[in-house]
Amino acid sequence: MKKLHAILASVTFAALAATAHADVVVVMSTKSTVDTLTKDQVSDIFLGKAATFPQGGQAVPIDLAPGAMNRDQFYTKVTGRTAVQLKSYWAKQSFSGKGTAPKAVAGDDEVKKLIAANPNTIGYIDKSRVDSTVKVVFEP
Amino acid sequence: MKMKVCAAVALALVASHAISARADVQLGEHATLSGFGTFGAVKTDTDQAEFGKDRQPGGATRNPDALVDSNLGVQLTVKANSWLSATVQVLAQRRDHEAMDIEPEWAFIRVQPMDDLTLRVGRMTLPAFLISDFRNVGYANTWLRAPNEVYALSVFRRLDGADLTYRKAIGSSTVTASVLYGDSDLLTAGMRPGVDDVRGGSLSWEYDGLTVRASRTLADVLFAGIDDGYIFNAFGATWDRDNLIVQAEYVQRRATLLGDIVASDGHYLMAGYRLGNVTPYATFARTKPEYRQSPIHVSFDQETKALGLRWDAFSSAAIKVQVESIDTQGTPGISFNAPVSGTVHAISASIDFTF
Repeated sequence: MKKLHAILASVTFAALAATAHADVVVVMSTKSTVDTLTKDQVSDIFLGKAATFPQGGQAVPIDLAPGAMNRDQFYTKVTGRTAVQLKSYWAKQSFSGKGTAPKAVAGDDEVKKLIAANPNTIGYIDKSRVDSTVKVVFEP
Repeated sequence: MKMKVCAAVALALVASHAISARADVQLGEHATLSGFGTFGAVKTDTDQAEFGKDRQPGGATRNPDALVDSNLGVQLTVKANSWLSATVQVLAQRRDHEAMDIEPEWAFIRVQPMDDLTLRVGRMTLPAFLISDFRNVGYANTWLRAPNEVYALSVFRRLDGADLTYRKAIGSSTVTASVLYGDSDLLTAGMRPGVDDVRGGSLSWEYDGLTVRASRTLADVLFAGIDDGYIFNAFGATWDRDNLIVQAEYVQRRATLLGDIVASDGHYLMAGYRLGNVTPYATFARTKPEYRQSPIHVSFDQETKALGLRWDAFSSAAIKVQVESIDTQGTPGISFNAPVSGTVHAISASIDFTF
């Protein structure tokens, strides 16, 4: 029982540590016609449940590579899934031919570069990295 | 024997660790190569009969068996554009023969003319159950093995045909309706009855962490000169939110002419709770023939209570252990190849990975 408490405590601590670190925001190109999205809409786009934006136009989500600090925070806040649950979700989707996980890049700079190149691209970056090339469409 | 199992587990660990360092392999702009697998072993406390799943010839006794649960799948997906793709999945596992065989499990072309509508043509899993689509992917499931009391009742293997799926978001819930048509084949050791005119439909509703699904599959089965009608009904629900996982299904297998020997019901309830990377779970499953007065049955009474643990030890691999207590009331049940008396206990261990 003591061990269980210790596990629970360390899990809670790890979760707190992750959320205390930084804030993540969902961004798109300033050229995009999309201004704001809801949590459910962002979740659907990143889980492959929606291929288009509610306002129209193909949605191209860009992911961060597993292990990035903001990644776990983004998915926990937006989709309610931990990294392990997300991995299991994409195993279900991809091996039944329903869809594949979004393309992943290493860091915020690459996300911004892809967003600048295509107004249909949607990504998530650290709030401190927001500049004039992107606009925040959702803040978890 | 213990040494052999230990060596196999060690090998599996090393292999999955080496594999998990790689993600999906992107082959050019359009193609993706990915895969999954399970290394598992199971042993029971009886030599009266062999314990397996589906209609596998051969299985575990006091002697551990590594081919009941082990499998390896490799999938190639080619995406031509946003509405056209093709998927081929080759899967090695024990089917009709005691050794593993390699067969294309999926091979289809997927057309998505609209965001809500999907047409698939080719070979697909026959989606009778809640988790038919990813049953073979150990990593995608909490349990070590789907309850045989329910999953072995469906005797069809795959669908060679087409299915059409319509998906519609209504508020914050999603409704999915699907219809299918094609041919199939029966999962039996040795015999090969023809299965034609497979037609089916399913309806599911997702809201938050809840999924509710109902499906019905009909087919014509030609067996020993008799053309019989086959009916399979399935109702299932999953709750997966905030660390709690609950899943239940109830299924009915019926036949028009040979109902006395074919008709059976099955159900299970599974509950698990995530504690960080460790998920303990418990399963209760039961099947029974509908017409007890009939002297022969396709499958018999069986009840299983199982306790298990999934440990997400690595980024792309999970280790599982499961202990089971199985009561067949002196019959072969649905998991054994001969009658067994008393309660049988089984212990299984596996490592499930994706790459």
